[in-house]
Amino acid sequence: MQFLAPLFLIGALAIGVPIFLHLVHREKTKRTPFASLMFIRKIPFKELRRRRLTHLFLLFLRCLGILLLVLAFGRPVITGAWLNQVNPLLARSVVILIDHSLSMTRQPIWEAALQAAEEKIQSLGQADEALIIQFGESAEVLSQWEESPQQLQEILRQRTTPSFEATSYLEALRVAVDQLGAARNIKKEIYLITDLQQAGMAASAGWRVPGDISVEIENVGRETHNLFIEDVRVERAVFTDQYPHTILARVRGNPQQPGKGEAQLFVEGNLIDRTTFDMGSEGVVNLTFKPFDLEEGVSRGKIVIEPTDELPEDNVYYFVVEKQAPRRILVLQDRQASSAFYLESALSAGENLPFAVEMSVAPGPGQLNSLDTPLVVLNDLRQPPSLSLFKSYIESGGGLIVVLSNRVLAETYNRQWGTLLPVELNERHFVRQESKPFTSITQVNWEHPIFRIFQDVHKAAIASTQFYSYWRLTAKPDATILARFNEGDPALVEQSLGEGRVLVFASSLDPVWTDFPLRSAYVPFWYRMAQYAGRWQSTPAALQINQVLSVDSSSDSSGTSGTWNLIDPRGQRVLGLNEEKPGFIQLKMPGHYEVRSNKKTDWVAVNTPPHESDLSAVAIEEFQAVFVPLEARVEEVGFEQSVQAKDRQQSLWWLFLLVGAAVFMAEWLVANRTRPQAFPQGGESRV
Amino acid sequence: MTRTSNSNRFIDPQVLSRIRDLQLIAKTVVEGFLTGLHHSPYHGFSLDFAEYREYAPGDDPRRVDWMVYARTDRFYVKKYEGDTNTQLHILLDVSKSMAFSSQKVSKLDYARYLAAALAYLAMRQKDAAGLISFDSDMVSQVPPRTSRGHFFTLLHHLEGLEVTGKTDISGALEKLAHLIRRRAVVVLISDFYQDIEKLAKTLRFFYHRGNDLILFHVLDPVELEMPFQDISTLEDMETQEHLSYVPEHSRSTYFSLLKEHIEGLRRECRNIDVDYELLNTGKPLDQALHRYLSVREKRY
Repeated sequence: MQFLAPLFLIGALAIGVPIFLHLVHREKTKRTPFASLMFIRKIPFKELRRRRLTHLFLLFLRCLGILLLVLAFGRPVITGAWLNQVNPLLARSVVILIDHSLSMTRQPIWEAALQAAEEKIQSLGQADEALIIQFGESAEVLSQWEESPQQLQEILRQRTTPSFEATSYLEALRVAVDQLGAARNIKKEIYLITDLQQAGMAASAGWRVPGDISVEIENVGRETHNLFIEDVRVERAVFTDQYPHTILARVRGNPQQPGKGEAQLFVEGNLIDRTTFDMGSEGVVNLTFKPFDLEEGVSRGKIVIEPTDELPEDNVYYFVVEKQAPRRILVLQDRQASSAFYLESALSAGENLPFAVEMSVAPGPGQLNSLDTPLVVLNDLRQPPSLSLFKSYIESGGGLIVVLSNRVLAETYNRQWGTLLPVELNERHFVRQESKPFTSITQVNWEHPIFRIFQDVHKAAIASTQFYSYWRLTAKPDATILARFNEGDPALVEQSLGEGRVLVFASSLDPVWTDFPLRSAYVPFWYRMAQYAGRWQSTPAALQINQVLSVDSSSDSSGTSGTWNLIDPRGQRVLGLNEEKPGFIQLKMPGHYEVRSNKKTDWVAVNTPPHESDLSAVAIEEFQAVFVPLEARVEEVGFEQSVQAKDRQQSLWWLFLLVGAAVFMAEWLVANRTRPQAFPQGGESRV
Repeated sequence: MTRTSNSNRFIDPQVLSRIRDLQLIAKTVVEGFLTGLHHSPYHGFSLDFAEYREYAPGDDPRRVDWMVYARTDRFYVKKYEGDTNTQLHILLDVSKSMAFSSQKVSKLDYARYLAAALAYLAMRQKDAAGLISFDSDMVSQVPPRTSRGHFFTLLHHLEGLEVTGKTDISGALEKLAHLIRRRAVVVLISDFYQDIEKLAKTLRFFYHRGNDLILFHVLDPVELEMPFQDISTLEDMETQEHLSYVPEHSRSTYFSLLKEHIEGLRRECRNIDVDYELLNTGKPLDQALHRYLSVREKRY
């Protein structure tokens, strides 16, 4: 507690007056002459003591009254910390939420954030406790509940670091609320230090901070011009000597401040291409870079734009391209059959083809190797080939697609390949012979990797396909039915066997039993079928900060694991693992990560999240409207509110004055009852 | 019609305290009192006029003074006898407790005024008035005489009285008994801080000697009302002992004991046909004069 007029406190010496009078009065009233004590009896001691206590109580009231008056004139100013010491109910549990996302790394925003956190820690009272959380896309609790400001300052300085992450207020507030659940004090508070970036507002999902937790927001941000690479279209896997496509890059800037810039493409440190751009009033420009030649293996590339700005990390886009050999697909069919033409055409369409389709009647010696031939398609074979050969092929990781059409002998398949196929063949079903001219696929597992690309807008491309005939199948218990005909019969059935997969398609590849080969969905469908059955996964050319890297898959394409290391873009080893299944690692830094395993070295490119580069901020009211209920809001302190708050802090004087007046009133009442009167008049004789 | 009139203000002890001359006080009190009895005391007074007395069955109704009746609602008859030859002995307690006062007039002052007034009244009625002051023993004595100059001697003596020792009425009266040989009117003015049984014994002794005894019990208003509202330490004026006084605790006990004391005195006086009058020093003296006249009338 401080005083605006401390000189008035000298008036506290006035309490000496009642004390002096009290002592003098006691002396005066010590003996009162009286005619005779004949009718006065001795009083018990406790009664006397009680009366003397009344005197002391009067003295206390007088001194208290004077002190309260003096305090009132001294104009006391009360502070939060002092209040906390006085009243334990006012003790707070405070979560200090520090935004350490990419946008906060700008100077002096990060220093301002740390300064705000320090000031908050200094404002904590003795009974308060606090906890520090730093957050970006995810939240990291840096400490336990601490009461010591020194400990908190130390944690703040040693453990808070700026990151390259995106912002997620929802995640941060949820973690803070969870931590407050274990807080000791009744009064709970979240102190959010952030730049109120609009990008962090996504996906609030209607969740709000509970009403009993107050949320105070310290906005340390400011909107500035930021030029950044929003997206680059580049593919990692390349199956030709030259990168087959034009690399596209979208650069975004401030529409209010159009300007010129330059972009450069580097591959393995060599400048491949450069282009200038003029940022128009739209604030977006698309850039193209010419194709370039590739060496065998993995090549690291990056696109750099200039001029640089306060956030240089998003002015560079890192990527990786890898020159690979096309994967062989062996299509086996009888000599008389011709339906594979459509399949061959579908898988050979376009440039940079990942597949090389090879037609054959039967597999050649050594051809059934899952590494050399990841996928085999049996197209309408009258009789199945050797079971043992295919069984070992599939179990070692090979993929098999069985297409059933008019020539297939169901009994032979059921007898010879009953243990390999996920289905049992029943009979041919000719839809034309019945009332309906055709049937269609109506039940599809749209989440499956084969059908996922059709999920959003292309469902009709699958559903509108007409099937005139198909094989009625009975799926085995372990099999998964991925699609059914309108009649409920399975259309596509899948089953894993060892490391490989077997898929059975119940209709033909040619337009005899179906018009599917004439449909637009045919090519992407079979492309996905080949990818899925052959276990070919397309790796992206670049990941984003906080995306996970599956070390298991990237360590060794042969599937065998061994000792490996992950080296970050600064050249420092992040992790060295020698485990059977190392799992996943989140990548925290933009640049090229090196994954070293026993057999090869791989590279992974990581970039900052592009939406984090949009430095647009939301108003504090908008933020509160989304996350903070009315009762939990602590408004930013404006001038007028500041004056009101100070006035409230200083308005304590009248309370002291009122209490002082009440004390004097009580003194008057008590004194009137007990005031000594030597020979008062007006008494009433009871004799 | 009540007896209260403007003339009564001269009998108020607070007013009398402003008069320094005791003779004037006595004259003021008595003449004022008599004015209360008759609006013009000098017109009706002939040389033969002696005194007023209250009407008693058998008196001639023609002697009733109707003007006095109109003023007082009491029947008084005029007496025209000459010298009654009555002796008045005023016994005045001058112990230290009589010095107690909560106002301008102490109990001793009040007793002094009363004694002077009684002496003046006696002088007017040609009675012989004497004065004896005492505490635990006789302090001083003025023998009764009828001469006019004796009145001034008595007043002079009264003016010189001062409080001395402790109260012992019984002891003092036993020693004084030989000084009052013939039947007389004995007026005892005291605060009677004395054991009742012992006092009653002495009073009986006086009564059996054929004296008419009047007890004027003089108490200060504070003694009667005990208005202390705070804890006090009271000191006995005679013994210097002190005791704590706590109103809530002591007041009721005090009143109960005082009441018991006064009732005891009244009872004993009634038993031996002695007149008793409790006087409040805050109230006028006429009550005492009425009591004296009543006793005087009974005697003659």
